[in-house]
Amino acid sequence: MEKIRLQVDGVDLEVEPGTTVKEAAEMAGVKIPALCSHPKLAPYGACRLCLVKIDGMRGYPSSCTTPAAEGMKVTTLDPELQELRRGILEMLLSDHPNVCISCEREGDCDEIRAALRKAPQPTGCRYCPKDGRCELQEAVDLIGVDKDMILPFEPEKPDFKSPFFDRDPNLCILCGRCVRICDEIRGVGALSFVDRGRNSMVATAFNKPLEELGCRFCGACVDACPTGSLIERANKWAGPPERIVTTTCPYCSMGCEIGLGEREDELLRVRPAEGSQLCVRGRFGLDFVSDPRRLNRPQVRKGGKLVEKSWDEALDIAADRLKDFRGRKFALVASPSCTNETLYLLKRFAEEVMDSENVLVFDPAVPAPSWAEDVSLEDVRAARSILVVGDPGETHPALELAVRSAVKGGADLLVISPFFSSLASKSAFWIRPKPGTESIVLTGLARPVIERGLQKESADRAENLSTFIAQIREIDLDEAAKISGVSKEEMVKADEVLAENEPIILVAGLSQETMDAASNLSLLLGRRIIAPGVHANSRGASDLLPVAGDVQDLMRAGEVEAAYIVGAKIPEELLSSLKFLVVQDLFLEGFEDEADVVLPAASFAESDGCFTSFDGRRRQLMRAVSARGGSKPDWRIVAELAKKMGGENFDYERAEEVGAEIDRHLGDRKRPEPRFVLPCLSEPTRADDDRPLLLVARPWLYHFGTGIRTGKVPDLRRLTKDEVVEMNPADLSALGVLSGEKVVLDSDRGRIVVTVKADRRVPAGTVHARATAGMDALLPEVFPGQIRTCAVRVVRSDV
Amino acid sequence: MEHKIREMVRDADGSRGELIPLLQKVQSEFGYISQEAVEAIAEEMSLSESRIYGVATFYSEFRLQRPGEHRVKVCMGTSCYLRGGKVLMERTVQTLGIRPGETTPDGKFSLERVACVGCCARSPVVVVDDEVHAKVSSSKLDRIVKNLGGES
Repeated sequence: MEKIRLQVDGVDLEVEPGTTVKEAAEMAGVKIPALCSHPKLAPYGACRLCLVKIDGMRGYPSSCTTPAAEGMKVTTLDPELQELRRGILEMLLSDHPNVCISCEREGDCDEIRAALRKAPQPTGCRYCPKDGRCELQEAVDLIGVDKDMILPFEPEKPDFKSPFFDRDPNLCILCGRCVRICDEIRGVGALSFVDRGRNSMVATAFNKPLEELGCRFCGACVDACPTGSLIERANKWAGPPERIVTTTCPYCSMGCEIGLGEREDELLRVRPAEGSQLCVRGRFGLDFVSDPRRLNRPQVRKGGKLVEKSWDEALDIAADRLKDFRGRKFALVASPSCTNETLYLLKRFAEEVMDSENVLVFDPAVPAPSWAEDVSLEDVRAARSILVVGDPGETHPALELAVRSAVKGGADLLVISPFFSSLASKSAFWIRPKPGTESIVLTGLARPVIERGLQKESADRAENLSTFIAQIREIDLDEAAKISGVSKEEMVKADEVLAENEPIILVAGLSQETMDAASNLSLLLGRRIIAPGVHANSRGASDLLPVAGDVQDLMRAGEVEAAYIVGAKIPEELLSSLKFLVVQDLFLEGFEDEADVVLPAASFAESDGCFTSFDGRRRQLMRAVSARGGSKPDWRIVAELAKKMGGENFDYERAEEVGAEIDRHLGDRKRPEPRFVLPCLSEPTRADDDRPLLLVARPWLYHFGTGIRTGKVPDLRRLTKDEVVEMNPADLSALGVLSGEKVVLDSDRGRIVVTVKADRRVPAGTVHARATAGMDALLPEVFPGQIRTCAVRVVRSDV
Repeated sequence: MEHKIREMVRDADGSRGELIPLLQKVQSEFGYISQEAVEAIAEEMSLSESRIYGVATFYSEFRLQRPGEHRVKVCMGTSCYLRGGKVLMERTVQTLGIRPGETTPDGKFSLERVACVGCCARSPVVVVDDEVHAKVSSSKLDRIVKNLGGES
């Protein structure tokens, strides 16, 4: 489209159609004051501070809602406009504490802070946690107000009870950014304008706590708030950080960019990168970095107890003992949360120094098929049709957000999930199979595609096509419908919607069979499939350390006698045959009795390096604070240990040197030819007479992996502390149990007591649970991060 | 009640524009919009509870508290106000111990402030349930409340 030419304050500009006058002015370097507009939100025009004059237009249009038009002549600043803005600003300030603006000693207040802190309510500058970062102050600087106006205001009661952040209506200017971002961008709508006129305020339904209203504590409202009305509680009074270090979130594999605010070598708070969104883990879940339980000094077991040693001594002892276990007797276990640099050096350590191929990366994710091309978040946002299997909202919130934005842009969304999820409720097409039968539905979906010739050309070049088609033709759709509870008609209709465009198929947190069935379907429908890894560097780990043989079997069989475990937790049974164990981590949890040498590792915030996110992109880690205690970055420890054991070419000064070596080493990855996996319609875990209900434990946003890092965050612990399961009301009344009562859950592995709640959205015959540490007692030992199921019996706990 | 509300939502066409007529229907059926009603509407319409609550609190037409057995409406229209409506309102607040929009803890009375019931010639007016009491004085008001079983 042709560009639009206009003039702002005498400067000629050319802008894209659809640009607002305010945006155009900003391009010309003109700052127009505004409090309600936000780059991520639709134009709103509520605060009226961005009024401008446009030749030939009546009145004073708000520049944030007026699209730029050809030939416009815009005036953004003159005495008349400033007078108008001043009037509006003064009205805003009349219901807002304004001492920070009107005080004659403004700027000197640091000296009198101590005295003012005793005041009971937010009356002044020292009482606003946003002082110095407040957009209202900024607007006052731009517009100027009559400083003599001291206006009384009636204080309201702030909310200090929500997890993570405080809500203070006294500081609120009703710009609605929080309300809009929660609704427009996050699709939650936990906050709303309540009441009317001078009583109106931002609040929740019936003043309910946020956690009861679907709030996921992403912090978007806090980041959008121009004043201190919504503000994180941690380091609330610490003021602005000295600098912001841009790095990568250490939790899931989305590779979200985060800004770590640092001052005096402490992490103050986290900001999402410009214009982006985070989830609760990245935004509020990084307390583990400064947790006092972090390992500080190397330790060595002596006479049954761990004693502190210097780095040199500890590494000498580790090197000396490991020498005896070269070859098959040694195993390396690494976490997919390690950087590429660490993983690469670990691989070299195992191969060159220990002469061993036993490398185990402990990752719960079932990866996408190796032929799959990378699909990025931008691709998802631009997709015209998306099939979601599972619930990325709990495992990969950034992906859920991208799907949501595609749907807003008009994409068709189909969801296959037995359970309610935020995406399912937004989907026009929600297929609800019985739990564990997702793969049967996906395979069933392939049949109408083939019968009606809906498949794309891409399918023709894949291996196994003819055998696959022959097998699919034999599938009895009625049988598939019976097992899965999804009708044939529903499957046919889903196919019609899907085949209209090339859908992106998204699989989150499910089994290998589901993955296979989904990749077959994606081969038929255009080959776009995403199966994001659970951990920050799951992708990097699978690129660098393709798993050779089954190390777990070797460990179980007792053939492995020494192990070096970096950042990972593994089941105890794998440790039983070990004679020597080196553990390198932030926390010792899980290895208190087993570790022989303990090496304290630096956290992501204290290290440089790279992750590879789910889409194959390199994501940079930047050191924001120095390593806590005596810890060191993982890659450095590995290199030092290797050198002690005679390893050559382990002399690196900086992480980038390792990175450069990886690039030379990896080269271009060749993708194998796509192939169909022949379907196997295995029966899902079934309940039996003895244990008639099916327990389904789904991954949970608030509990990541083993929960060691998320468990260090007090408010995440608070959100996860009650073991609650949900059941269909009909099942509950059949058991004679009331919603809210305690019950015993009993599986063939163990029993636990939980609170049960009635929920109509849970299918009959199932017990819906969140994968928490407590649930591990019941469930089969699969890596946390996948949906896990088992048969259970539910009994009232007083019987 | 929950069941009934869900049926009402399903009868409506489900678009966002249906919210206000639906709230009106719920209120005329149950007398007020309860927390459970908001929860059920939210789930059925895929709207957030806070959004619905925001709409319901914006319009003074909607009540969010269960109405009392007897609904006392004190007129504060211009004519009534001038002829003692304000005093009557203060008296009622005192007698019943609740503010306009609230219901007594025993569920007997609820108090509303209305602006003109259309019989200014007989002001000040108090409407109790559907009966209009004209030219009400404080003592007459006490009698009305007492006759309905209230203390005063």
